[in-house]
Amino acid sequence: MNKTDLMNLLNEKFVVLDGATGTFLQKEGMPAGVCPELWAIENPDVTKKVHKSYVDAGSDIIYTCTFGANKIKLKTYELEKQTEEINFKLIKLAKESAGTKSLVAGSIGPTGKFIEPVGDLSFDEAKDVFAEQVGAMAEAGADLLVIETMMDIQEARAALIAAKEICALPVIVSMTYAEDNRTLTGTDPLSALITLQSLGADVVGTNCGFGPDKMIQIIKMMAPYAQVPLMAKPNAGLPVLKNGETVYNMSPCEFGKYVEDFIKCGIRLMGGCCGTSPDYVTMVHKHFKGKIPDKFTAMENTEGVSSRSKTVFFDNGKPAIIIGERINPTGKKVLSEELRNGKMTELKRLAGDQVNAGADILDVNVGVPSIDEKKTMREAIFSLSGFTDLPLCIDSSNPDVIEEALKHYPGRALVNSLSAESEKSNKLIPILKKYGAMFVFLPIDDSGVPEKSEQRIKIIEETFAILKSNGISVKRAVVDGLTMTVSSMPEAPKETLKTIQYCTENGLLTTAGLSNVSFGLPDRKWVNNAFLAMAMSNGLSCAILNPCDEQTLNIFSASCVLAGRDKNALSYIKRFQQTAGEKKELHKAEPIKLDCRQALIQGDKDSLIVLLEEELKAGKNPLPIINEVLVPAMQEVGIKFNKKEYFLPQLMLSAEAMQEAFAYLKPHLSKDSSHNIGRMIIATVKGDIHDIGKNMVALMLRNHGIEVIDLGKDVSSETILATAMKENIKVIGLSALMTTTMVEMENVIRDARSAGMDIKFMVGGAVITADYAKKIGADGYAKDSVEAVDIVKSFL
Amino acid sequence: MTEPVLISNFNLPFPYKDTLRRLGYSASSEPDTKTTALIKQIADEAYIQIQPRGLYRICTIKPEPGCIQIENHNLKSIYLHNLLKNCNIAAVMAVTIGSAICDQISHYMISEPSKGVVLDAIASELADTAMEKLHSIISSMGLQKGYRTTIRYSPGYKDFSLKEQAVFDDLLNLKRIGLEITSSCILKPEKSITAIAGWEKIYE
Repeated sequence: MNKTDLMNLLNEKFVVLDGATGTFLQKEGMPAGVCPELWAIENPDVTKKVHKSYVDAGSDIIYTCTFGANKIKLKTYELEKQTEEINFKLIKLAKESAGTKSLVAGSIGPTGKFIEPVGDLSFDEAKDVFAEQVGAMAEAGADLLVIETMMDIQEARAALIAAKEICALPVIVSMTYAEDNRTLTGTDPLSALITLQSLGADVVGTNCGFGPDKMIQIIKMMAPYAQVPLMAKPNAGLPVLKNGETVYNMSPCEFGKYVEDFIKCGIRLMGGCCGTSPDYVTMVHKHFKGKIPDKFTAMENTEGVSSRSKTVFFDNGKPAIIIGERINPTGKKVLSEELRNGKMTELKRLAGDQVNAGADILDVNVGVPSIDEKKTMREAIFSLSGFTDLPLCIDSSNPDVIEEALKHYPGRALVNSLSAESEKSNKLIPILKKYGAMFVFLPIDDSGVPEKSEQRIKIIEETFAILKSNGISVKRAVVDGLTMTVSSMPEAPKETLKTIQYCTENGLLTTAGLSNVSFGLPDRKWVNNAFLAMAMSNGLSCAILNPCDEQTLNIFSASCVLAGRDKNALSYIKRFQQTAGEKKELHKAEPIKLDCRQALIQGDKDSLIVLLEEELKAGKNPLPIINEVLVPAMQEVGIKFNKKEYFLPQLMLSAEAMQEAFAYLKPHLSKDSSHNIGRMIIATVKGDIHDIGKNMVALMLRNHGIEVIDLGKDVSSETILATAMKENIKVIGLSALMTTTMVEMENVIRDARSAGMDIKFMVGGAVITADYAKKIGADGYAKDSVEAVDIVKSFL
Repeated sequence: MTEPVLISNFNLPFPYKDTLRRLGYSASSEPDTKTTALIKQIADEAYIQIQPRGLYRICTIKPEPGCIQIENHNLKSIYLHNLLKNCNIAAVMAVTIGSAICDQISHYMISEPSKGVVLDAIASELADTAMEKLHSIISSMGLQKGYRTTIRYSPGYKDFSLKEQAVFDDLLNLKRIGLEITSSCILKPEKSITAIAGWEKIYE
């Protein structure tokens, strides 16, 4: 069977799939814990009986018992070397059972491992595992393939790509969604559909899950965007334990009632999954019988890119798409250096900024000279796909780098870029086809950048004819109008705009970089933004720009309204309501004239230092400022914290301001003047590595004029007591966070008492209670840093 | 018993409300504008620093009086036994958000403690969210097989000793996700969690 045969079948009738196989085999005597595939081969009569039951119930397509017949799953039973043989035999068994009545779909299930970077199975390894299975199935005469119960889009991609590489059989891909309508690794039905149909799946759908009711919702999400027929194979409701046996709570009749709704939602193939039997399939067959579907037509205007969990559509009737251009090492020293060292922190920071600023897609360029661009691009894709749900635009001039990125990208990417330069395009076109990516097309050929739009249009037409002959839809192309510099070529912007206009009139998507246009001019952004507005008026579909530039985004947003791309100006209003809100908040946050006390209480360290400077200039003595203004203000902060008017961040902001105030005033204090009220040691006890709480306490104590010797974390009793002896310390604060380490506090106190040291101990930490403190002989217990100050003061 | 499965790089939603709770805010108290901006700024930083990674393993278990038998080990805890008494399968789990964020917390506690405490709270909640994510994956898998998943239980809860971390290491090989257990049974990097949750059959 080929793809056309399958499509013809789906235009003739609604196709009945089969029901559950595993639970059926169990009913027929397959014991728990065995390899189901091996058992199915060793019990051919039972296996044939199962298949035949579905054929007799009206299944047009039956699935083979090969769900777990991949090398990784079979390894559990030490059968991995028999992978091909097992698949071959099970396909043959199904073929014998089906005869001429039904078609046989080779079932391919998950490996049970996650693919990099989610898991540790490499994409290539996964693809090889599936390729082995597919090869045996094709050889044994499977009519089509079904990749089913997939819970990770990357694994489904690996299996689908393997299938496409090995044979020309049609492929159904069926994902399984959890209760939140996402796969285990977070993919929503729409993103799965966009990704899988672009990769060449002939049918996309869903199986297993939480019963027909829930599954209809999933089909509804996909149907408006489907360019391929949809299928559903729901469970018979949810499993429950009844008289010691797992049963599904939906009868065949109840199940059958959903078939009409599934048809209305747009499915063309339906069967059952867990808990269903031939009786359920009979019901599907009954409801399908006599109904002839309309000829399948792909949904229009559904070109989009997807990430693992989000889809962005190109739609010239809606606001244009913003492609964030910031992830590009050109002119960015920090990014270049980090990429060279394999670090992705700056890359993620740039991504985060653009996400916050409103980008729809992120362009990713890691082209640092002499870098291993393939490896770096792979790492960048791994980092970004875990960091943001925005789809990515893979930007490289090297086709090998693009292929590496597309392989590892868990969705449908945009590629930047294809041109008509023969060497590059010959290499890139097969890659774009294989991975189903959308792409930016630069109308440049081997003779360079054409000056006139007519020449550019000629290149577009010629290249698009080649793409069509390669089976690549021109709707996947986003034509770059080619922005040249106006200062050296005054007519250049006009030519770009004419190119964009031509594409818009011919239903093609367009883009343009902005900044080239203003090269060599002063205050370039005025020119860039004016050019953006003009391009938008000519129908620009998406702009590659810096979304963090507020002015550019404002022009972009306004242009969308004026170009009729923002219905009722909803996006514009939303943007400016938000901005107005932020400005209002900013205005509200502007301080009225503060004094030192207020500045400290508000944790406003910048204002506090300015105010202290004024106070000193006015001839005030620093010591009274500390003792009469700052320390009482800190006490006030403590009271607010105790009353729950202030919370930890505010307490720390004030403490920080106090610390800076001390540092500022210290050089101005006379040698004999000090606000020090005593000294102490603080430490996290041996074995414990937590020190956040201890650090907060130390900071607060210092702010109240107590000199703190902080010994750090994981400190032994010997070190603590030796330091106390050497420094003549009479107060020690001990911290521990865990039940396993709090016992060490008791050891320190006991050691001190045995040595006859006259020391007061204060203890604290998450698991410490007042009772425990008393039990181990501590002199005080502080529940937080504010209380610690009072206790230590009482000790000194 | 299956092999341990590695799962990482998952997207974590920002646990804003839990972060506020950890910073001491009650359900009725909202942070002021300045604190809200600080939390937002530090959250952005946190997402750049984190590297969520997890491991899980589906194991057969046998509840025995006062403990749970799992492989060749006994997890001693009456509370754990009570939680898993109706289960014969359990998922053993571990997650970490990596060491970079812990280093950043330490750095901030010296230079800007206000940022340090906020980052610490966010990191703790992100580690918890990562474990919640893993737990929900296990729950979904269980539900499709006809099991309800119990709440998760971690060493350190009530009578479930931290010393049992060693069993988690033995079952999961924690170093695969960069985790180690100190001699005091503390997980390192700090923002990491181990837990066990049972699968019990759903009764009609």
